[in-house]
Amino acid sequence: MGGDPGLPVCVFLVPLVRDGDRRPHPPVLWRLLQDALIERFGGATGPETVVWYRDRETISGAWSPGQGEQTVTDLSRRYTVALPSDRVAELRDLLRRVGNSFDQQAMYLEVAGFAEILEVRSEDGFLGD
Amino acid sequence: MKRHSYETITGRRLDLGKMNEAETELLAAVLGEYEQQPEWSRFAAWWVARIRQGGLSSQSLVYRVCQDLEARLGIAQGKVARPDYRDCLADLIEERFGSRYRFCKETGVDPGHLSRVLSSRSELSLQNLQRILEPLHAALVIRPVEEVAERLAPERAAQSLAEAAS
Repeated sequence: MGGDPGLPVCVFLVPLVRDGDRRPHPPVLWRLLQDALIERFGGATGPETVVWYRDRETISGAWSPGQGEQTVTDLSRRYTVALPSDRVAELRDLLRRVGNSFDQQAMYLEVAGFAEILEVRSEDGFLGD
Repeated sequence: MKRHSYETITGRRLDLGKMNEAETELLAAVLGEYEQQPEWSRFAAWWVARIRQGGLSSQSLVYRVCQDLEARLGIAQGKVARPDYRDCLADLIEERFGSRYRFCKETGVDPGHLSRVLSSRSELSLQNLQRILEPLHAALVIRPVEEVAERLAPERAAQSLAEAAS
């Protein structure tokens, strides 16, 4: 969980709307995400609904917690999970699947304070695969 | 707690009479929190922490009820889409087959296509939907929007749970 000492804290965001049509996600996807987090990692701290800003033209390139000129304001759900270092790759793999299921071009992840933008590819699969 | 069933947003009935004492107590606390109509994510964080504290698994009835309550709040607050046939399909598969893997294996449905459908990245033709519904012992039914909206209302869930706790 988020408070375990000595483990890298990972924070990730799941936007509340799809990239393609800007519509909210159906309940089944949030349920699948929750089930996956519990099955794989024993759960996560959160979520919290947060406001985040993304670059309008390169959604996969620039996420920022500060407001810029060419940004899209998105509400996202923020989750926190503390994992052994050797399981961070597993979290990245899950988040790419989440990206496909939630129709995102990229997923924002912070590992021990360092931000990563995970590019989502169709071959990464879906939640529940 | 008297025997009572809880109907989810997809119409699935959960038999609350099967709950043990710990689940019953937790559900009473969940109802108290839910009736305050908290913000969707705040409620999600709260109930997941309580489930963890109580040592309950994701297979417990309370877990499923909480997921449903969370979805109702999300829909009412405009942060979650209304459920469609995909939500019903996912629920039926879980109820009748336990997992999507087993369902696909036993029915020959392409798991990749099913994943894309459940993620709203692909659609099922009416013909394919009917073919999938057969092993699930389910049928396609068209209902008035008002009736569906009533089924999704947060108040309806609270009332149902309060009746179960009385």
